[in-house]
Amino acid sequence: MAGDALTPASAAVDPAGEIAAYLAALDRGLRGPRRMRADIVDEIGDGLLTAADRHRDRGATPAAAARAALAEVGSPELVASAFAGELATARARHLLTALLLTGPLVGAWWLLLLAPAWPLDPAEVWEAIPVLPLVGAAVVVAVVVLTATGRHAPRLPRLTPRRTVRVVQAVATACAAVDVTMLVLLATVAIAGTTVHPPALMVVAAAASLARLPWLGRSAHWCRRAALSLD
Amino acid sequence: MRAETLKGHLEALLLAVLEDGDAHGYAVIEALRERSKGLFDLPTGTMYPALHRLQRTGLIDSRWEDGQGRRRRVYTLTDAGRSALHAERTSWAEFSTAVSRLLAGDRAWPATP
Repeated sequence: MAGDALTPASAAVDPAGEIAAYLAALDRGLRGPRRMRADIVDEIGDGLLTAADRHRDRGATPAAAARAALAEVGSPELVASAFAGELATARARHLLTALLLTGPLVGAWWLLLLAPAWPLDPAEVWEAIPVLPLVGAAVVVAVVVLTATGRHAPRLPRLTPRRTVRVVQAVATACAAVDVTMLVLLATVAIAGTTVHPPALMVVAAAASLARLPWLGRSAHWCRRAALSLD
Repeated sequence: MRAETLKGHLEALLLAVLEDGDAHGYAVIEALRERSKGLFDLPTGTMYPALHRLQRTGLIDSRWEDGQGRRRRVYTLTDAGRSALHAERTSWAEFSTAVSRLLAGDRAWPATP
């Protein structure tokens, strides 16, 4: 390594520039939540600079030290690939959290619109909102995946990143199916002219589902691509 | 050592290094390399994801510190991590004893007739 410093090529190298170029390449290769990507780049950058400091302390020139540090860390593609699973898992968890938070916001309008009069009879609610079992299953699966990939993971069977995004894809698809089914049911009664529901509530419930559908579609699509890239 | 061989044990090894005290990522990886006398010498960048996985699952925690003009992430072992490390040590001791006995050709077990 010290010999590298004697060559004309390495003498012209800007060590800080080389490390900055490496970090820029790494940033381009990472796919996932923005804040997590920024943290990864900062952490790898700190590791590179620390490694370069150690090599300089052992007598290497700044250029040779930077080069040795870059050789230790691995190529940007290799490091980005090593982080792919963690980034995919983080994004999948964000999606599940968003689904669990937005679900009640959408569901509440449909419940207000379609639920029979108080007190609620489970059989009547089931009949009025036939997708409830699917909603319940999606919620249970989402909670299980969040638990199994979070701080309680060591006590549960390990979920691989690939399996995690596959499950999130299924949950997002189920939620989309719920929204489409409810919209179709509403359209059917509206076209037949048999509805007794308040028009304003119908518009709000339909708008809530329509607003969520494109996001659900993009989420399911991202999960599918992420699962394929993790194969 | 092949990366695949180390992969199944990497998280326990990282926990063991952090048992000695808080450390930033590069220091953890360097300690791993030095304590193994260079045997565990994977590209350092591929070991950081294991630290992130340990943090996500609550076995270690981290905080950011500012110093030398840059942010530095410092890891610390949690109580859950300490328990997991203890369980790993017990499991590894049983496993390695059994494998060593077999590889050494120990024929203390009764032979089948």
